[in-house]
Amino acid sequence: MVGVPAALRYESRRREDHVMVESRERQDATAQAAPGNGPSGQPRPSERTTARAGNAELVTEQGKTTITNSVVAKIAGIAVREVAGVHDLSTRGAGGMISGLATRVTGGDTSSQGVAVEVGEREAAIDLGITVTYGVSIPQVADAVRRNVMTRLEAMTGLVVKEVNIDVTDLFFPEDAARQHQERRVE
Amino acid sequence: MPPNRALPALVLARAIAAALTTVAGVVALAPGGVVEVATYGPGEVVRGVAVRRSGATWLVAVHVVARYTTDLVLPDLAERIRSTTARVIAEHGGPPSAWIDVAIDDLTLPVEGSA
Repeated sequence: MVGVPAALRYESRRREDHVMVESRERQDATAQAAPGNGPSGQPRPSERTTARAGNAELVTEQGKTTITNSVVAKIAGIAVREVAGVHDLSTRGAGGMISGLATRVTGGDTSSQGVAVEVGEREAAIDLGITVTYGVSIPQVADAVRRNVMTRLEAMTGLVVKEVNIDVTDLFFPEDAARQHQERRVE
Repeated sequence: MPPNRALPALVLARAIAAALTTVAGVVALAPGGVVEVATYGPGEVVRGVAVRRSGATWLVAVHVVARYTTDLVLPDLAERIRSTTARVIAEHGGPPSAWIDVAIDDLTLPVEGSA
């Protein structure tokens, strides 16, 4: 498995009304994950990947292995939710668009809402929409999310995650949720 | 063992399907997406396993739903599925060089809402 990069370089820029925090830091890692290294660390010199039908494909001498994008999206979705400070994946806004895409892939499953997956060759790019709990450092949470998504996907699928683009679409206020819960009980 | 030319695809598909359910990490066979992955016979369909013959060799495609665990390694799971399928083919007198496509179509998730 390829290690998590020691330092991620951020490019912050305004796009519409969202602040996009992006990472373009995988050139070194891609070079390390040369074709000689199998996803689980064993050398598999005869393998190559293609991206027909948009899913991750690993071609061996005895047949090809396909990991569908919905599987990649689910793993990414779980990895996002594991990080403290993340409230949930987005269901609306920019995330809504992403969500619609993921839902089409997964057939209505909400576990990968807010996750869009693009797979090419042996690399993957992940777009995420998340809501974070108010009070946390958004760059730090985004960094943790990015690392966890990369680590999980590389370990579980063998894909090299080239970029994880994170769109923070909303804040979550725990007190508001508690009050709303209270009101709902009264009704 | 010479290739068993009389081996019906359905028999092989049935045996592969039975063997795959015993592979650790496999929850179920998946019926595929837009195009159904299955092997057909009289009054019977084996979903998730497509077996067809191309000349002297077999083309086998298996689609599965995997179980999500924190130590999941899908390429390794796919290799276990492939080797199990190859073993079943060999046991039934199939050619050793069968082409076996493995697809992980879906995951079953751990209990939601705990995170």
